[in-house]
Amino acid sequence: MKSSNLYNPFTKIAGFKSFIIGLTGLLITSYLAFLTGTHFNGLLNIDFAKDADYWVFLTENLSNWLLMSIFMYASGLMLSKSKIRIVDILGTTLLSRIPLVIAPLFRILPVFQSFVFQSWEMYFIIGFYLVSLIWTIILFFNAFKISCNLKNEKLIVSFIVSILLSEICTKLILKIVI
Amino acid sequence: MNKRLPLKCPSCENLLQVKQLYCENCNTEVTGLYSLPVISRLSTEDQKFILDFVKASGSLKIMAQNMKLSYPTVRNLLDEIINDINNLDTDEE
Repeated sequence: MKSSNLYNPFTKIAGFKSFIIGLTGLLITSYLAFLTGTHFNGLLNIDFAKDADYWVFLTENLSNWLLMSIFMYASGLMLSKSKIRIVDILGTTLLSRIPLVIAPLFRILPVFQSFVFQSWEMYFIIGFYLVSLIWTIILFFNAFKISCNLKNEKLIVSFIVSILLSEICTKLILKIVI
Repeated sequence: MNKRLPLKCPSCENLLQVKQLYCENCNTEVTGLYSLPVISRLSTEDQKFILDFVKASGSLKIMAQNMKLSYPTVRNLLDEIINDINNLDTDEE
């Protein structure tokens, strides 16, 4: 496997194929999050509590992905000269979220299943989460770049705005829904 | 050996024009002053892309399958070529 496929698989995979793979990943991530009590309250946030049903964990993941896709699509429509397809944005952003499975996956291990606040186990999980978060953001960036065909300042500014707006809206929606 | 068509003057970097054409069959020579068509001024890769695109009936989906690349990647390549052609047209005007 080429290393570039790890941070930019979208030159090879996009559209419906990435949507199916990414959706499978999102369902698995949500299920592992439910089993281990790992909440993704937005992209830039992780919490630990076994306090909810599966649909809550699924809603957390779905809302952040959908909002991110909507803001990226809107940016693409406004700024790109290319004929962009919504299925590319939905699919590639879904695929980009796969690394987020790392933290709940590690929490299945008995040593990480329950831990006290500020313990080494907690810092390990947060470390795994930060690695997966950086990886996910790099994937999001490349997904956005390829799906919307944006470059330079337009790409960087609209990407940061999309991330921030989706983060704010995810938190607002989760407050209302859950 | 595939010889590349020179596009720019090695001395002043100006765009070259065609002055002479030659028939290998009957040795006829045509002399005049002709501009190179826009397509010949694109890179070899871009020219190949355009030919493959026409052969694929203008389908980006078929192009993506043939090139083993994703649809948006191929669309972005096409958009870059369109942009290059537009720039060449503007230069010509």
